[in-house]
Amino acid sequence: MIRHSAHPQAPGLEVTDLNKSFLRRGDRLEVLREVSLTVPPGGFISLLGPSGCGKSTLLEIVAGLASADRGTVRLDGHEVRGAGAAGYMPQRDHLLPWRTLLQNVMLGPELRGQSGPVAEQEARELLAHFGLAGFEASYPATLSGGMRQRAALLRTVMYEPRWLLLDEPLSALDALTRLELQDWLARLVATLGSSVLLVTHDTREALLLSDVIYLLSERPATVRGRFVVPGSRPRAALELTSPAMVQLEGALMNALLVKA
Amino acid sequence: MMTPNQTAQQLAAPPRRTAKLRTWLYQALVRLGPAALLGALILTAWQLYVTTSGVLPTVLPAPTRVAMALYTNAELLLQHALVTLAQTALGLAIAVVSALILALAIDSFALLRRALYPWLVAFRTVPIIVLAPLMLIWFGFGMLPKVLLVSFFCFFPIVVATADGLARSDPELLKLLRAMKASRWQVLRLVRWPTALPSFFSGLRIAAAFSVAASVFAEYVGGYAGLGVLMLMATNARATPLVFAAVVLTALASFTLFALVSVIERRTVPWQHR
Repeated sequence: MIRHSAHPQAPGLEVTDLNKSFLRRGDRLEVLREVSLTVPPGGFISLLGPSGCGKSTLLEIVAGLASADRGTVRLDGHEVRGAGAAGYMPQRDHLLPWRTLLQNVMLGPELRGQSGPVAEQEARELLAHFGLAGFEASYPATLSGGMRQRAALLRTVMYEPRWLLLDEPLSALDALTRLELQDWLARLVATLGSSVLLVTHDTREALLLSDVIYLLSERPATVRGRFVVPGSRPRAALELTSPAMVQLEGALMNALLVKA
Repeated sequence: MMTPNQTAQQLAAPPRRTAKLRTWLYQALVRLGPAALLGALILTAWQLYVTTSGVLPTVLPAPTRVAMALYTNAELLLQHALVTLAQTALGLAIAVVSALILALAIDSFALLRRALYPWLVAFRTVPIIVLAPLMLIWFGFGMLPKVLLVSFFCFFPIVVATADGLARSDPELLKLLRAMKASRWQVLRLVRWPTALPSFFSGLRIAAAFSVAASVFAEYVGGYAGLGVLMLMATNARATPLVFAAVVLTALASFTLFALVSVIERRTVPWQHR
């Protein structure tokens, strides 16, 4: 599926015809093949695909951490060259163990040289939204998995709130905490008004959180389909039981389980 | 004898603070008791052996005699101990500063690491104190050769440990910092240096613990003052209790330095101790 963008200067995130392969033990390993997708401003887009299909590589290219062999990534009309244009959150929380929670959250402003009282005030206010108030001086090792993941997201938001690239942010959590955080994340993103590109292999998570789901094939990843999720965000978990949702979930599951 | 019932009543009776103090004392006793008891036993056995066997005090003085020697020669001992301590501290400080600079340089330039690191690891296994006579030939009998020997001795464990620590950063953390467009200096300050700190301190603790020994050994070989010189003089004068007194002070100085480094480490690396 090849999509040519009609408006190269359009706002939003535009990924066009991305190709990527690695050399492994002398063999060329093709990871991405002609992947194109768009994230409109304020949109929540999920990349759903089997484990190891190249989703993370795609996100790293969008984050500017890796370069594509061919294809372009445009953010608000500007081609992304190098890191730092969007907020990138890796799979594990990667909080710095030697920094307190507040210091970890303030990492972005500090790296930008803007760690003044204004940024700190903003961080302290957001800490409450993230359910972390009262833990400012705690070291990461003393926090629960859910709290660490929320802290990592807040660190990402403090770095760049408009564009969030989330690489399976909830996959390391236990099932109950994951459900809680999915619900929380749905409401949070709606409040912040961020544009999000989420990588996940959890169908229900994608349905609950996104406007549009791109279904990726096994490696080399190609876009197998683009699914618009009915209803408006933020959704409640109960909405997943509506007939339209159940039908879409069935279609996605079926597509995931049947090899392309 | 108390019945179990009475014991329970007595334990429940005192107010909370006393109870807390009691648990604390009990825990301290459990933790330190066995070691203290063993030490006391050895001292007692030593004392008993000396008094019953009639061994000469010039060969093996009793612990009480060593204590007496410590007391009566306090001023002399302190004078020499201060010399040893000063040159040890100075040597250690020089070693720390130069080792940190070299470790950072090695970490910054891959070629430097490949050229120097194997030599540093090799030198770490060389007992540097055997160089003491050479130091004497080159730098005389003053404090300088002792300070140099101590810093040379302490330098290798610190530089190797720190260079190892700097290279051991989590690549995922480095990737995260790269995603946030951190500069080289920021990556060093925020990730690599904190990662290296525990390694640096384990190198420093080893160096600090043995630095006093290096200092005393350098004094044995030749010098004007210091615990090593005092020990040599006391040995020649068959003043064995004084030799023991100087040994006690040497051990005390080593222990104090080690403890000091541990305290600094606890304050500098708080995230590992909470």
